Order: sequence, then structure tokens, then C-alpha cells
Amino acid sequence: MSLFVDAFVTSILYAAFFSIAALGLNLVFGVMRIVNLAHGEFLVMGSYLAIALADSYGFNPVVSLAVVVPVFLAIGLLLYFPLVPRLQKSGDPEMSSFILFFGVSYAMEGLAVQLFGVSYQSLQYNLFKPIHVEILGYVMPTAWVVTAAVSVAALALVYFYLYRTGLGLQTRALMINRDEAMANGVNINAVSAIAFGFSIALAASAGVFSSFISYPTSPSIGDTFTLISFAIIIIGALGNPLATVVGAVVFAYAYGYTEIYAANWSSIVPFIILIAVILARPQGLLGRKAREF
Amino acid sequence: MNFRHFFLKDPKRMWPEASMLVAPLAVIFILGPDIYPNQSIFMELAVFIMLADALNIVYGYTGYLPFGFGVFFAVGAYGTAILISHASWQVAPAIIAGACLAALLSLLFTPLLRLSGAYFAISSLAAFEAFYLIFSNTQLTSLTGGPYGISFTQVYNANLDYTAAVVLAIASAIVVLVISKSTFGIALQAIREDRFAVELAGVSSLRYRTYAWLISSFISGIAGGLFGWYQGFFYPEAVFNLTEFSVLVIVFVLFGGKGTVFGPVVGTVILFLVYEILSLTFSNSLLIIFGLLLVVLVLFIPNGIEPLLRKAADLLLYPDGRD
Repeated sequence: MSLFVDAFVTSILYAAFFSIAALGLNLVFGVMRIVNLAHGEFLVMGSYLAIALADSYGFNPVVSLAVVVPVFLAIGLLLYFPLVPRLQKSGDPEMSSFILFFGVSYAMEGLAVQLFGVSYQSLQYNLFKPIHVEILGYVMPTAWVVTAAVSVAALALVYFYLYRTGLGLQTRALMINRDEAMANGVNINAVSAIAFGFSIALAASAGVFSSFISYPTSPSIGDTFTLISFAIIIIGALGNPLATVVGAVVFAYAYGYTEIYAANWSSIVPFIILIAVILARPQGLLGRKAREF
Repeated sequence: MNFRHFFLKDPKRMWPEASMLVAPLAVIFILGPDIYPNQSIFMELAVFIMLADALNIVYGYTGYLPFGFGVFFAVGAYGTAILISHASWQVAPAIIAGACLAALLSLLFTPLLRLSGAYFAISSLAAFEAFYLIFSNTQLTSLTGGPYGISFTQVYNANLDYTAAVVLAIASAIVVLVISKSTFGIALQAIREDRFAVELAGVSSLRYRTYAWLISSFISGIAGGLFGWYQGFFYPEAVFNLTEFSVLVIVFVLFGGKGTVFGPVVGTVILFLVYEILSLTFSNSLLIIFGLLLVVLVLFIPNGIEPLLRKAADLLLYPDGRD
């Protein structure tokens, strides 16, 4: 099998994982117009929880999800109320949120260093039996396939929530026009808190699998995940959760191929694409207007 | 370009405030190293004051927050270092050229100024990361030293550098004062408050923001050059340090009071001291403490301490009310 085709297939799995990693960030921006710079740190915390569960109870990551999702959903809901409503009363919530959540990410990184140390940790591939599977003639780690499958399932759930439930309808209304949604009786706090909780839970679930498919877990890797997530949601479209998938596909393929043909430069790729997209089409590949004039 | 905008409406009214800025800073920088004999801390303070003033021009006066704004600092440092080590330039022209390089880079990013807030902040962050990865790339080792750092110790002169940094730090505070009193500064504030009204009045908000952006990046570039010169040798991580030369500066400005003349200077002096003490005594939980401090700052004193200090000073000077 040629390298080119190999990269094509693994990039699909990559794209699925990174959609989930970035989706929550976009949900929060779309609904609350705030930027969660601590997104990557929540992902890292999810990852640590999964590693701890695997170490002490031998939990398979898919099983760990049953613990990770409710825990981080609760953390998200608890964090929403002291932080976000107060933030939105300030003069410029969008800019203030940058600084506020940078503070949160600092505190979380410091906490992670205290709790888990600075060394790199990973889940073992042999949590899945067999370690490798063969699909359509390609042999790949089972962990990767499971990661992609879980990501697709999570995407489907988010889609179901947004487009098939009453709360989802209110969420979309809030994303399109905040004032009119408010005037029509959308309960901003309830809808936003749920979206925030979902966002944190999604980040943490991506974190459960992150040490398999992307980087090993360490306190400082959170920033990298935050930046990659940003790149992805801007390439797709800021404030449009499902466009995240498009962004993730573009990112995954660009990353996958530079990794093969110019490995030295592969880590720059997300940022170059991000800047190029912002300059050429700031609304993202699928977005509406973003430029002011 | 009409330079009349940059002139003062009433230069005489500036003197009291200018002396209130210069005198305390001069005292700190001249007596400081005698009281606490560690010049490098005061050097860093001078660099931070320059950066805080530079950021204040963009963030305080135009409302745009360039999150990865340390990229100009780093490019200034690298420009200076490369010119000295590869082309054997004198220090002064090398620092100015480094700062011009930073300003040139900012010109490259002016299209970003058309974007609304979050896009701008994020893309400047991406630019920061991209430039870090370029400068530290192993394939550019012959030019930038790559990950192994760059050295230009032949021109090292700590005392001269300290003096230059102090003078320029005070000068940058004066620049902010001049801007705040000029038509230019008033236009910037008007743009921050209501861009559309300003555009309707026939003022190109984009052009004014570009000027502010250029001035700011130039000052950051100078700060970078001076910092690099003081080190004589640095790794890419030392100047491309998002925590120190972007975030910390944002915190200083925010704590002092963005969009004010005294805020960034006062905020930098106080918080830098706190930061140094914290990092000496609680190095383990520094990140946690500083993170929580940021959260509290944004939620409870979003306008910084400058308005509070001003109110306190008014109460002291005019106990019976002003008029």
C-alpha cells in the first residue's frame, strides 16, 4: 500500500477525532459569543481521568466514557453559572472571555501539574483486543477505529440535539439572533448552560481518546489542542457547529500529508491554513459574513 | 497622511501629567538597583512597561486585543540579534532595524484589522505560533540558530542597555500620554466606542487603527531588541514566550486600567512586583494563583485600578468635592 493512500485513510480517522475535539468550542462560541481558551485543558483533564480509570480499574476507554461524560457535564454546568452570566454583563464579553478563560486554563494547567506531574502519559493500545483490525484491506490499530466510531456517534448525537429537539431549536435560535431569541422567550441561561456543559463533556470525551490518535497527555499539551481546535472551527465557520466537520477534514488532510512530505513543517500547517482562511474568507468555508466592512 | 492629527491640541496641559509619570519611574529605576541589587529585574520591568504601553495603544485605545502580540517583541529581538551576529551591525541601528522589521510584519497583518474582535485575537495567536515554529525550525539553523538559540555576546553591555531601556520605557509612557491628548487618540477612542458613527463622520477607522497598530508593534520591537541585547544569547522559547510577553502584559494593562495613561504603568509596576514575589515564594502554585487572579480581575474589576486610584486621589486632594 502506498504512503499516499495510507495517509488518505488515516486522515479520515483523524478528521473524525478532531471534529469532536473542536466541536464544543464552536458550540460555546456560537451560543454565547465567548471564546473558551481553556477548551484544550478540559480535553487534557478528560484524558487524565481516562488514564486514571484504566490504571486503577482497567477500564476500556469506551467504558470510561460512561464516567467521563457525566462528570464533565456536571463540571461544565457548575462552571457556567459563576463565570458566564457575569461575563456577559461586561462591556465587551468576547474580548473579556479571552482573558478570563486564559486564567481558567492557567489554573487548570497548574492543577494538572500538581496532580499528575509534567511527564507524558498515554493509554495502552492493548486495552482493545485484538490490537489491530483489518478493514477493507487496511490494517490499523483498533483504538483508532474505535476513536473514529465514537466520534461519529457523538457527532450524530449533537446533530440530533440541535435539529430534532425543542432545546436544540432554541439553541439554534440563540445562535442566529440573540436579541430576537430572547424576545421570543428563549431561556438564555438554561440553553447556554446546557450548551456549555455539552461543550466541556465533548472536549473531555475527545480527551479520552486523544493519547491514542494525536499527542500523549501532559499538562502543557492543552494549549496545542486549543489552538488546533480554533484553527478547525475557523476553517469551517465560527458559530456553526456542524461546519466544524468540514474544518476538521481540511485540517486532517493538510496535516496528514505535510507529515509525510515535509515533516519538519507539519506543526505549522494548522496556523498557516488558519491565517490564509481568515484573510481570504474570514467567515470560514461555510459561514456567513464576518468582516465588518 | 495628515500629520496634523498627531499634534497636541494643548501641549501645555500635558506638563503636570508628564511629570507625574516621569518622576516616580525615574526614582524607581535610579534608586531601585541600589536598594535591591538585581539589575536584571529592573531591566525586565522597563521592558514590560514598554510592552504594556505598546499594548495599551492597540487594546486600550482601539479595543482590539492582539492575543499573540508578543510576536512583535520576538521579531524585534531576532531582527536585532541576526543583524548583529550575521552582519556585524552596531547595536543602535540593529535595534531600530529590528523594530522596523516588527512594524513591517504588523503591516503584513493589517488585513486582520478588518476582522471583528474574536477573529482578530485568534488569528494573531495563530501568527504568533506560526512565527515561533518558523524561527525555531531546525532547517533555518544557519540564520536563526533554530532551536539552539542565537548568540551575539560581542556587543554585550548591561549598564548601557539598562540606561537605554529605562529612557525608552519612560519615552513610551510619554508617547501614550501624547496620543491620549491628541486628536489621533480621541479619534481612536471614538472608533472604539462606535465605529459606525466615526465612519459616518468621514473618518477612516481602518487607517487610524493601522497607525495605532504600527506604533504599537514598533515599540514592542524596540523592547524585544533591548531585551535580546541584555541577554546576549537567547533560545526561541525565551522571546516567543506567550505567557510572559503576551499574556502577562495583557494582565498588567487590564489590572492597571486599559485605555488610560497611568493605568498600564502603575499596573505593570505593582503586578510585576507581585509576580516576582509569587514566583520566588510559591513557584509550585504560581500558575494556579495567577490564573485565578486573572479570573477575579475580569469578573470584578474589568476597568482596572486606575479609576479607583483616581477617585482616592480626588478624595485626598479635594475632601469637599472638586469644584
